[in-house]
Amino acid sequence: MFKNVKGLDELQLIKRGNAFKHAFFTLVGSSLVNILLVNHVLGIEWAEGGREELTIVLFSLMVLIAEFAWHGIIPFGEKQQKAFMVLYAVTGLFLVGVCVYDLVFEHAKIFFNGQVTPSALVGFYGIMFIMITVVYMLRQITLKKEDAAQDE
Amino acid sequence: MPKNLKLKAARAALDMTQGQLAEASGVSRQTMNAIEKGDYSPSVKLCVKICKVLGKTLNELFWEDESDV
Repeated sequence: MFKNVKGLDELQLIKRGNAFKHAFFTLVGSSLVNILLVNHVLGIEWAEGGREELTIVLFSLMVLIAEFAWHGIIPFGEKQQKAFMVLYAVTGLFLVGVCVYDLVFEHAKIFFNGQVTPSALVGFYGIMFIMITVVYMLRQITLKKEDAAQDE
Repeated sequence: MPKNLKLKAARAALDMTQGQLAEASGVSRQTMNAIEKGDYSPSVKLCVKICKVLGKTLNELFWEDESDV
């Protein structure tokens, strides 16, 4: 797999640094807000079973990967990139399917006692995974338009 | 930053696509596109590489005319 890892050029390195910066601030900012909500000010626990931290970490990770996909700085060859995107889409669809199944057949709720239920969170995680693939596909469309416009 | 039309013209004169120029210069096509559009100022090292590929000097490709300022 790592035979096709390609080096990044100077602009891609800058964009990679910005992506890490944005994900870091998303992680730290969300964690701080969560700490204030949960522990210090409002006493709100918005997700069952202490899944708040997991959700924040996953969300920050998705911000990072989405930015990688948008700027074309995923350090793998094209075939591996497509394979990853298909994997993200399949995982996302599976998680959303599990959520829908719980909601429809197990009569689970999205909110319970003022908290987001695990079923709803699974659906949210699935949507995040699918969004990565959507971002990648939008990027491919943009690249094709740039290709067509390059000699105008 | 204004578009780098000199770069675009030099590339077109050699009948090269952005992708071909990018590959020859060791950067991605998106980076070459950003340089041509004026969205990114390349390092001197990269400027020299591009000049070598196109057979031009730094002044010919990357020097700003007073009219561009």
